[in-house]
Amino acid sequence: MKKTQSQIKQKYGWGFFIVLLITFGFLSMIFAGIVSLFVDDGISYPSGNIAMIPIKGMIMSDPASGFISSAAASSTEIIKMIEKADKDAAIKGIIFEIDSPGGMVVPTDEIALAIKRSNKTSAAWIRSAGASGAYWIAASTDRIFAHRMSATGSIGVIGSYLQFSGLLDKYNVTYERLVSGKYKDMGSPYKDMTSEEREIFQNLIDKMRHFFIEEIAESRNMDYDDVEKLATGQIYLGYEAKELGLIDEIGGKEEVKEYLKKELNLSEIEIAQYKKEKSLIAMLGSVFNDNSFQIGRGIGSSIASKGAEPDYPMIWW
Amino acid sequence: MDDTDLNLNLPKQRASVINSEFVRRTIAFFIDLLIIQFVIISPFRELLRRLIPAGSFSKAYSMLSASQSPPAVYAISFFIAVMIFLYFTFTEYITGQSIGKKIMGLYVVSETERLSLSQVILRNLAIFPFFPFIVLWIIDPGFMMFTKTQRRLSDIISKTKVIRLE
Repeated sequence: MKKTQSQIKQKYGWGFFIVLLITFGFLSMIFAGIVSLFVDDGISYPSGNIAMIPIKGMIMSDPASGFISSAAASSTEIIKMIEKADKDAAIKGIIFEIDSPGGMVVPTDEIALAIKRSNKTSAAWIRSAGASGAYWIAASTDRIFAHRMSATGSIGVIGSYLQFSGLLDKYNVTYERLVSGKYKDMGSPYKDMTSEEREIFQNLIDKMRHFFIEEIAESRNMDYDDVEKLATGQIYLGYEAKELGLIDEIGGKEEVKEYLKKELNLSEIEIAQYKKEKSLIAMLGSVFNDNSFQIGRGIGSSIASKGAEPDYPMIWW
Repeated sequence: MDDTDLNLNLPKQRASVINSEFVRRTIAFFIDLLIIQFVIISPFRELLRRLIPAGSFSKAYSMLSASQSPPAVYAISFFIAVMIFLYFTFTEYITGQSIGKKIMGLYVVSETERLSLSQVILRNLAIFPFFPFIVLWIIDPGFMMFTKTQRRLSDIISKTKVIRLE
């Protein structure tokens, strides 16, 4: 007893243990932070049986870098979400929550192809807008739902840009043209577009339009000619789009869930809302008006030199 | 209560005894587990949910066993095991008690003169969730329940005891 009691060290108060726990908790958080830097893609994948993937804002390849946060839909991130949902055995279907006016050509096609590669049943839920490239993405799903007043359709391509040669002339600013090929600076905002350049651009746009119509015709099981008649770039409201065969049903989230419940024979739907987790900088930046940023960004990208990149107009749909 | 062996004068055919000391040690252990869960494991919960489609730590352990997890999951699991080991080793070596043991009035003492660091390390190696230590996850509680001395095998090997002071 004496021998044992001599081993009982000075009794430590709770302060020691509290400091210890704080230290251990801090070390765990530090390590978790370090690991997440290397492996975490910053996307949240909660559990559920139906993944909901947001497609909101302009469709682009990667999120805007810099201090100001962009509400752009990143094709890189959306494809990651699609692939994650595809690999997750617990996920039986995917809902694409679409609220986008469209975006860039290649990122749109990338997302559409990823949806087609996926083995999961999918549905598009168009909210305020699902136009142009966003409509192309919606058409790649198995069923399209839209509100009766959703802005959809707008099947077409745009490559318009601001041209400042007149303004430069007014202020006696000259554009010194140094190029290796005659079309190298075609689409430059600092000079008039020649008729040859216009023809080349128009040709590009027409080809892209053809791809767009072809994709919609195949996805919607419509004749190419019928789609082409609708491909004037016109926006159709949801109820119009249904009459034209561009969407399947008028409805919202509940209707989409009901569809998937029947289609997949599920007793209940548990939505797993996939989303990009915003960093602290992005959250701070999002207090600024994103619309103003996008306009400024568009003008700025037209004016600013991009170094080695060809100076052609940004083509969108 | 002193550190003498238990002498309950039970019939010889009785295979196990679960007495208050066993209950106290078990409660102390669960208190420690709760604290560990909150302090050490919870910072990794969200990250593990993102890394593993199944989405929970217990399912992560199942995937670990099948070697299907991303390398980061192994790194996290190893880190957590090390932290848990350090928690028990550090507290028991410096104070003779973990938080659970402190709440339940239990102390870790040595059969020799002084409790040494090597003894504390040895008695806590059972924490590591890989072979051969993981075998102790079954053997240690078995020894506590089915031996007269109510000590874990790790206690016996490390020549330590857990006692209660009134």
